[in-house]
Amino acid sequence: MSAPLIWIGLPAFIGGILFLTRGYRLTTGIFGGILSALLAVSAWLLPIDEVVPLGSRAFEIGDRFSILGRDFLLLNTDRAWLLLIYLFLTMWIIGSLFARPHSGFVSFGFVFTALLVAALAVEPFLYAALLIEIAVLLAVPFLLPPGSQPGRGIYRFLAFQTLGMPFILLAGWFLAGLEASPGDSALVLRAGGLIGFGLAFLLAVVPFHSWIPTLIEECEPYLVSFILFMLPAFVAVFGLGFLDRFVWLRESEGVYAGLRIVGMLMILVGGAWVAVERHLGRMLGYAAIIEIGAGLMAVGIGSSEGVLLFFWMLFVRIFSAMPWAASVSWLQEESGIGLELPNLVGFGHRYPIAAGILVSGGFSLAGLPLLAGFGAKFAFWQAISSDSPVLSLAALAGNTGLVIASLRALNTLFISFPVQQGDDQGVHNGAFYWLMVGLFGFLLFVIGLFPQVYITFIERLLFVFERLGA
Amino acid sequence: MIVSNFFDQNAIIAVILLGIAGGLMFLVNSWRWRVAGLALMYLGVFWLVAISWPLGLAAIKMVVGWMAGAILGVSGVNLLPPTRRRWPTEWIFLALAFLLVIVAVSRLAPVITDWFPGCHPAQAWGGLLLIGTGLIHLGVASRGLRTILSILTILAGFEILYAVVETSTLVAGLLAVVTLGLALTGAYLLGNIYETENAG
Repeated sequence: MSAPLIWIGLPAFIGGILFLTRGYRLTTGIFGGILSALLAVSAWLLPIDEVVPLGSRAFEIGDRFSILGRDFLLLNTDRAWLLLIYLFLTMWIIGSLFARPHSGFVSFGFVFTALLVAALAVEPFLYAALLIEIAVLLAVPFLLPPGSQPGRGIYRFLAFQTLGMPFILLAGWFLAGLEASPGDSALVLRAGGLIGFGLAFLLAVVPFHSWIPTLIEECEPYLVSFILFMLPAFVAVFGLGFLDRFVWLRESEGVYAGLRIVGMLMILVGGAWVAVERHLGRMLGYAAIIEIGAGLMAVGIGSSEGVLLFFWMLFVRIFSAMPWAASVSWLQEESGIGLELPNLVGFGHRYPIAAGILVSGGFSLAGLPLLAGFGAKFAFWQAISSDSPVLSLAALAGNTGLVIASLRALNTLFISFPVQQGDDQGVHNGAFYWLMVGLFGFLLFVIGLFPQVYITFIERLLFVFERLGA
Repeated sequence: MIVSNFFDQNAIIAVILLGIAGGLMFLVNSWRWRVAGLALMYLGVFWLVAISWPLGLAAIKMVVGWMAGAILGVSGVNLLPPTRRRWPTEWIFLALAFLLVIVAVSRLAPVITDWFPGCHPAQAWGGLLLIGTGLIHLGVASRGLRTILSILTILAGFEILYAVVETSTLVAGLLAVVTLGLALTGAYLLGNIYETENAG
């Protein structure tokens, strides 16, 4: 038994099986959640490449799986990342029980995650671009179920993600050349430029971000949010791998300055658009752009502290983004009239908890005190303001856009309106509803209060990168 | 060896084929001609890739490309209403854009041969011509068959250049999967357009 088989092969197989049972939505969701949680727990408990005694016997999980002459490699230090990823998947599956996206979500989640883990595990690493592209191609039919009209967003998503792949593949070839002649500055420039463009396409860096708001408006917000959460997380870790591996990248001040500037631009652009946005789904999209920008700025700090902040923000994002996306999807289905703010006036009175979670999710992503995102965002702003005050001011202005957007949503959803007969018909008092909103509320409010509980785990994520995390 | 020499010595024919194919896909309205252009393009891709790769491996590009064309051809694209272009303004604009690509390629091709040691000038010309045409095509198309064809064109151009430096069978296989995946995704999206327009 090898680690890639457990954390890549098995989830892909589970995804295939769950696709067959997708008609039984609740059962598939519960089983999917349990299996995903088991994968996370196994990443926590089972060491890789070490002999583990089990009663009178012993077993060992190998770190390598070879296929067609290429290797998939998962090291013992990768376990923290695997635990995090399958924890994220578990959370998204639990959220899907509330958001009720189309029935293939759980199986898609498993296969998509397995492909992305495979992309990080494959050796040589340049094959990752191909695996990410295959994951993107797989995402299209899940984003757009049969019978749905494809709009511009899905084509842009496909085009931008596909354009990223050639850059990464070519960069891989130039990097191999650099290993042979490390002093060649022309090669350094070409390789750096190609990596930059490739990651910019994959991470939807401004100006290649236009597909995000368009896609989320056209498709189910929960599905798009899942992709907007998982894909940039993996691509960013893939990009961190470049920094970790190549000393000329890691020690170049220009790279970090570029990351800080690009990150600031993303926060500024996302913040400016989200502040004036009237569509709740598109708001989520712009919030994702802001979050990607914040991640880039954190890495741009250029030390292990920056990487720690990147992972910390990523970890707490799940507790804000997932409940927000789930409540937006839920509201869309319940309202049946779309997600334009003017259509949702007073909906907070009908669905107070769901609307409250929606608004709190936005506030949490913006880093408001007492919410899940507060600790990480506070540490991030502290670090970035001492590092580059001008950039941090510009980024703070962008972040304010998210606060304004959440305030506008709060104002619209909870604006007083004349109560008419039948207005209380939408109120849900079912046990399942209360269980889910209770869970979301708990996570949103409690995670932010006790960062000391999980911060040691976040620190373990630094070991994924041998040199960058040192 | 003899066949490989033939491809090498007559590579200019492949570049002309790619130019015709790119022009067909970019300028013509009929979906049949566009798919035919795609088939012609993959013939040119095969020709130029065969300069650097063994013939059998290079043939994968053509077979996969033709399969992609066949998938798009049977996807229901024939059932969609044809797109019309305004004569002569739109045609002149597109023809000028295509000309611009050719001029840009003539400037960039020597740089590319410098970047990739062992790159035949025809490979640089062919690869850049397809990438340029695909990008311009992507710029004027927002959805439907045109978008898928433009992505496939860009990818085919890249494959010509990448074949110069990478001869791995697994990469060839994965790129073939991506090409077929794009065609299948395109066919799925085109089928959805037809379904929703009929339902409406």
